[in-house]
Amino acid sequence: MLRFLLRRLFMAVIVLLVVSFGTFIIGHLTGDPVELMAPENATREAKDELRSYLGLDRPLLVQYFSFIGNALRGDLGFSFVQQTAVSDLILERLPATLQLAATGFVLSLLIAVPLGIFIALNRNTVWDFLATSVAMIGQSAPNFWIGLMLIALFAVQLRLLPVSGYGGISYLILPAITIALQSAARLTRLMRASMLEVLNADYVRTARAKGLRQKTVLWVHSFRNAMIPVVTMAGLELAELIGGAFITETIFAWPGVGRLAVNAVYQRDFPLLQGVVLFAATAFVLINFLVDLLYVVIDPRVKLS
Amino acid sequence: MSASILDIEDLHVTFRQGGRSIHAVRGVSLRLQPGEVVGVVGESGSGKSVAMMSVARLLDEKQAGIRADRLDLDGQPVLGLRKRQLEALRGPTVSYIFQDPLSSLNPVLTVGRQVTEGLRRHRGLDRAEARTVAIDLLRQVGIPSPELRVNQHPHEASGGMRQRMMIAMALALRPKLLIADEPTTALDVTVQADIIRLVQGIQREVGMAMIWVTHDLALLARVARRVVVMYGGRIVEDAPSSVLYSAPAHPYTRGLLDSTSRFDVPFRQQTPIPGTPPDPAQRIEACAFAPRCPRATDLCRSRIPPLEDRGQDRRAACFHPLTGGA
Repeated sequence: MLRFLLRRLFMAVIVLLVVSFGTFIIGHLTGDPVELMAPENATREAKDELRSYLGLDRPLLVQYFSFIGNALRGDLGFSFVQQTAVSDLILERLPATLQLAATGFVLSLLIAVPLGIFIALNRNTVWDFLATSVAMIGQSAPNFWIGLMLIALFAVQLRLLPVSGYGGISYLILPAITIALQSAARLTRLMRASMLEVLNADYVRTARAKGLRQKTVLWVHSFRNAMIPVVTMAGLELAELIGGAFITETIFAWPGVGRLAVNAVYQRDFPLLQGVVLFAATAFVLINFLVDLLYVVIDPRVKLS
Repeated sequence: MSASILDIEDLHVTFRQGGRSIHAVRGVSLRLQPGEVVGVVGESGSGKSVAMMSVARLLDEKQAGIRADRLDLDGQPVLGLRKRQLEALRGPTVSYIFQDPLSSLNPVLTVGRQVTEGLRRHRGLDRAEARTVAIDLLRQVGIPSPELRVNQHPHEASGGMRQRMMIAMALALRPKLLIADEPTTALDVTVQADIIRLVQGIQREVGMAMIWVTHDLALLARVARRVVVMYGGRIVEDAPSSVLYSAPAHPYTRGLLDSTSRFDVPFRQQTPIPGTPPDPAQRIEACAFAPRCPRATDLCRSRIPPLEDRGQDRRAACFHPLTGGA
């Protein structure tokens, strides 16, 4: 158990190092931030001075290691454009993102798990056909299209909900549904497939052969096994959402981490971009780690691996 | 005649698969007295497992259509029972041991729980009682340190140990009929004999009726008084093992016996049956074995031979049997 955890932790560190190095290099390849920051009529000397003040004249590797060293202390650098610490900017946006991610995620699970089980039990019926078709459409429809359709219907036509922005619960509903629909489409299909596989498993036949009640066979013998792949997928979905639902946040003008990242790209604010990417990667790794822990609880076979 | 524990008459099982029909069982009749031990033998695809699964209606009935003139288990018409009544039969009346103990045990539940689930369901034992019984059962099937094993999961045990757990589970309720579907096929040769002896011993002690389903005639010679040979979804021969092994009536039984590995005959002289088993997707209005049979005539190719008495307590479905008249 301890070895399993240590190995996962080691892997997590490696992943974060690779991601941070990647973003660092790409950030530096996309252009010179000094040209963006300095006023157009600035002299060459002034620019050089600014460059050395920001530490951008040092060798790349040195810059990288100082970035990592600072990051470990919680200092993700300073946004050139916004003149604020990157960590403050992220923390400021984090509640909005968490709120949206959590709502969308819970909504998605509430749709996907019961629906997936229901259509697996009633496979090849009208319900199965309907739900599977809708899920297929939901999975292939782009997020921005779903978001825009929801706005067109509920905000513009019916005038029930605000078009976009951040505020009370009414603002949260449409973006959360947008996120939930796409995620639920994926999870429903997986839940259905997983449940079907488990229902055909030999151990389910054994359970039936023992004369157990149908609900025992379903909830005790099938459900837990069927959840194993769903938990993995759900973990990835959640990690992705916490890292920032870029498109959804942009459509709904939701002040979350995703939009922060999009703006950072436009403004070539690469300390900020690095910070956001590193934050997203950390969230990803952390959630995966939690999923691994959850695995140990669900599936006793995992302890051995 | 005493009441049969199992009475099957003209059982048919058909699977519907994407518009195609698979005729797995095409008219099987079989009767078992309480305490009787019967072996059912046949190649894979002969319908032996499917026929036995139908006894407790374990097949997925969204895909499998079961019909029979009679399918009585301990006097109860299985096909007419409602879900609850059926559940009450599974376990106390009929129990199963399946082929692959690893896939047949639930990976996420403890051994103790799986072994005693039936007891808790049918006898209403509480958790503590169940644990004591589980340890007892595991000890009976020869599992060392059962008090540790009850809390473990199936993957922590070896193949032989897992099959012992399956046996403990199947026997927990002392069923009137035990159906063992290829119980040793997935096991190492070295533990097969142990498992067979174990099941045999418990069967004698409890006095339950038992069906061994296998493709291994040599195994049946040791465990079954009576052997039923299946081919193409039908019974082709049903005879006491002493009669069947010394003088088979059906050419297919002969072929099976001849293709069984023997140490006293050089490998080259052993004769496999030529050809392949019939396609279960096809309707057959003839003897299913005719295309592979050296004795086949036009009669065999135009009509289904009925399963008829051939004396010596034997039934065979053949127009030109090797022994027993005609």
